[in-house]
Amino acid sequence: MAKFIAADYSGIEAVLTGWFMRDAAYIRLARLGVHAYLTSHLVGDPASLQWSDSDLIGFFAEMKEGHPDTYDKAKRAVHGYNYGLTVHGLCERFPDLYPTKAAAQHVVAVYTTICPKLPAFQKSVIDYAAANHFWGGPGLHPYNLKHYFYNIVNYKPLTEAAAQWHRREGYKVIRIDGRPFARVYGDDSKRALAFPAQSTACGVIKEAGLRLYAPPEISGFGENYIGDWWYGDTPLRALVHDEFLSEVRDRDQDRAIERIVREMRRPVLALPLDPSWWPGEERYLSIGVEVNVGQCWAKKKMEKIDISGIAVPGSPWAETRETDDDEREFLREIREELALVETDEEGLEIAPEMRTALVG
Amino acid sequence: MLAKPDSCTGCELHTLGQGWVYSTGPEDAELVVIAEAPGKQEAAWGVPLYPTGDSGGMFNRWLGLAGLSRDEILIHNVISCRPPNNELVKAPYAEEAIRHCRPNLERSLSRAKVVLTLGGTATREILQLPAADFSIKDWHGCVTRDPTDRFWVVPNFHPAHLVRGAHALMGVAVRDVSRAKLVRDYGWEADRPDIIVDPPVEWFRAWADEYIAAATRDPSIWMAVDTETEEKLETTDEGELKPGARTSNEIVRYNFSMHPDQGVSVPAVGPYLEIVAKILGFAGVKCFWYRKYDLDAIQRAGIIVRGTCLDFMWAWHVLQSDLPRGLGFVAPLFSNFGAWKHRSRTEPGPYAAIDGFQTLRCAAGIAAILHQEQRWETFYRHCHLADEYLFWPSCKVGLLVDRKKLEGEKGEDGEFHGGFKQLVDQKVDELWNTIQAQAPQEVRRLDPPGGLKTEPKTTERKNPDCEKNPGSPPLLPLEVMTTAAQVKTCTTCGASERITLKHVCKGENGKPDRSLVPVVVTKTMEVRRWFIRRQFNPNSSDQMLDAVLAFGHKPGKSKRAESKTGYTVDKLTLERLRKHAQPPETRSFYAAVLEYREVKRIKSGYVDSTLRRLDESEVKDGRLHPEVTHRPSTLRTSYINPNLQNIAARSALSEGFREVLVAEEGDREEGAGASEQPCVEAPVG
Repeated sequence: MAKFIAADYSGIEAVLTGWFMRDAAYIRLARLGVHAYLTSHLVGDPASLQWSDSDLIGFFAEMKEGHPDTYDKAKRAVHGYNYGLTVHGLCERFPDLYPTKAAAQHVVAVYTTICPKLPAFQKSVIDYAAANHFWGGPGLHPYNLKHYFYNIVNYKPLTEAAAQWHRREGYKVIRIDGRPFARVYGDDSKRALAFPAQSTACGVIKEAGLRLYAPPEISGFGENYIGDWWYGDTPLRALVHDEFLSEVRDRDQDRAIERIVREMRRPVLALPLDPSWWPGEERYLSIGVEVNVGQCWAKKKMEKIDISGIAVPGSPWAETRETDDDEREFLREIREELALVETDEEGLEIAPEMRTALVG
Repeated sequence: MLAKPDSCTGCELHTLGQGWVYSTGPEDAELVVIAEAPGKQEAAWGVPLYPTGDSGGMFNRWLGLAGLSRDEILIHNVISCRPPNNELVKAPYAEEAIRHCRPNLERSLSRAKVVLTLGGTATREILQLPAADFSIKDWHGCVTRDPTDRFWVVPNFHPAHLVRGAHALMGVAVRDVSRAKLVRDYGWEADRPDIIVDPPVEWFRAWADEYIAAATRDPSIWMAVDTETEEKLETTDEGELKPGARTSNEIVRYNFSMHPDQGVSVPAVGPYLEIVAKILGFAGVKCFWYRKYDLDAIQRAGIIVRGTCLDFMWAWHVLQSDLPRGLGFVAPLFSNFGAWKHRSRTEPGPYAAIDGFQTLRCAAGIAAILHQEQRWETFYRHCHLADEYLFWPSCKVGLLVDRKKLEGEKGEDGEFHGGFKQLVDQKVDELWNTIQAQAPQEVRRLDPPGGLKTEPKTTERKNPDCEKNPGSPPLLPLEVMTTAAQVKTCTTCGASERITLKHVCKGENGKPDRSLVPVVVTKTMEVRRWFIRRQFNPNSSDQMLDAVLAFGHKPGKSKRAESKTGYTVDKLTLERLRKHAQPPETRSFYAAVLEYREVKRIKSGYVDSTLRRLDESEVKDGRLHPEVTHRPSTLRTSYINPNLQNIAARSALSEGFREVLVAEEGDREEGAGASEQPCVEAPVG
């Protein structure tokens, strides 16, 4: 008999955003539940970062259960804002949650107040990308990756009436050859915001994959190698989003989970935690993991495994918040929208009749 | 707007085209820029690539970044007036208009030393290339002598292409402008590498021995390897093959290059194969462009490949993740050879040999930059090693499908029952019927589009949608409509409609009378036509937009510049209408459309295609063997055939499909699953 082990990095991109911001509090919140933390502020019962991890987790669970609507609102705002969704974008995308711009503006304002480094970090990424036409490379990106962006800032032509309105509202109007233009962010600005965390997450995941499934002489690590555990073949079945899906025999299950968790939570050498901003004992960032086991790949039919007993050197913390399906789906959609994950065209197979319809 | 000169008389665009645009810039400029046709701004002001117009503004940015100014170049267009709706390519008047404007163009070209062509139309016109098999991607930046041997031509993309969204090409476009400047300032010498096609067997054997001896002495010597199949020669080049494309036919040529100035191509026949196997079996470093495709083909041919096989298509992707990956596009950035992809059909031998050394040149250039920017390690570990040790082995083992759960069990009636497929099919039918019941009549498309001219003998006609949607009725009722149409009428005998060139008028006795002279005119008349109303297609955005408007609802505003209507009925819009449309009864229509699209996606993308793949798979192991690409620009991986990352977790049906992907039951003997020897042996270093 065999089972699937689905091991998923939890909140990897949020944690990495915290690392890029050099914000220890944000990393802690990303691990424990930034949505619930925002919810607590929105409902007027704010959690304190002075509390212990276990107190916060308990409180956040109460928040999630006690204020589901506000929690949902907070969740959308956190992910949306992190990926560059504007107030207008939030209203457009979630008209039920944010019926007015003022409602969305309020949630965003609270979020940026409790995570003050976020707007400055986003601005720094956009400004750097706009000035250099790329973001990344040695010194900026943990894996030296680089992405070019040519449409960070656009100049939108305005009518004279629109130019007056812009000026009245406090927006800058630029004149080129006598014609008024507004400076607006182009499509690449959102992609630039998403790039640091997404591409780093990809590097973290592939490194963990190599340590687990590539022979020790190739990966340079051998202690947790399971690359031949499926009757001499690899037990890896897919690496989808942030999840390793492995198929292992029942008798190997516990050992495999232990090894997978150890490698996935292993502190990432490319992500050092400098004592100047990191108060904890860890010297390198590690990311939380959720493990589910089941006979099939359907999430609802899988059983969540308690992995708190698996000790990982250099990664002293154990508990993380759970990522729900709704959140995964939202993240998937937003990645698609940013074209950082390809779906249609040559990715998803579209039935011929649908293809014709989409074209015509 | 300027008036057209007298020379335009006789041109098809004399009346259709707007305005007139003269060339601009110094008459004696050595660098001449040729664009396609004036746009709205250009026609209004009489200036080509008008500086504050969309294209002109983008072109000015290129000039600035390349260190040029408009004062030192002469700018002109292939045609000098603005064509209707800005449409020139493939328009019926295009050929005639271009021919008519050629003398104007010739005047601009008379003193040119180098011509920078912007876009496909200008490039084809200046280089006199046929439209078939032409792609500007394969020509950009390729310095080419014009057919009359008067000047050099540097093709480039049209600025409008970038304005419309291809922003990622900015750096490449600027580089191509810089190259034109370089040619103007320093001249150009054509690159003439050795192109060796079908050499004598003994020569090829000595060449292979020379490579093996050299690579034994110096393991850093790289060998570029490429294969040609009928598919590659006929259709596209490597980077444009669909990831997941399988070699549908045999290798016809092997191409090698161990020196950037020499390409060798040999046919995949007879004595050559033994030498090819010797080269590929030697454990040296080999460079490929789309390694998976070539290695699959080589493996099928039964040849073992040893040594490190680096895929420089993915290395290029690490370097520039937003740019096209075709070798034809990339090569001009690393090689001065020029365009060659257009020769695949006419000169397959030289084309193949060129592929070899172009791969090597690109590999050397890409590797140098990756090392310089400290990105080589990332490419090597996250693409090369990850492919060899994570993705390829996992895809080879595959995901087990519980076919019973998917397909159901065969009953006594010979049909399958109780499977996920039946559930999905049933859901599709239900939703289709719900949509058809609620869709407005007036938005349904008429079939045939022009209607039947004569009264049919039956009252029903075959439903063209019934094969795709089994829930649909096989026949639909014919409707008669009175409509205004342009009809040919003979004024002599009064006959109308079916009038041909050989029309003969009928006399009073009803018989053909050749003494009567037919006078045929086209009149707008009220006529009767017979149609069926096709069923509403919920996947058609045009029909969906019509439906939204017919209900009196507000569609979304399209953000796409090329949108013809300015509206969109994307998912967000439909979700809004599902929740807020008035009257509330119409909301169920939008809910059904949204659900139908999702269910249909699961059906066609996962259920039906999984069964087809299992049936067509060469390895009958009941497993799905997806394929992996690194195509997302963050170097995340994505699966295709099927697309695993796109099975949404939220919907119950997606969960249903995940349920059919199961872990194996029962135990095998130890080692029973061990793979056969891999095609590629362990890489060195």
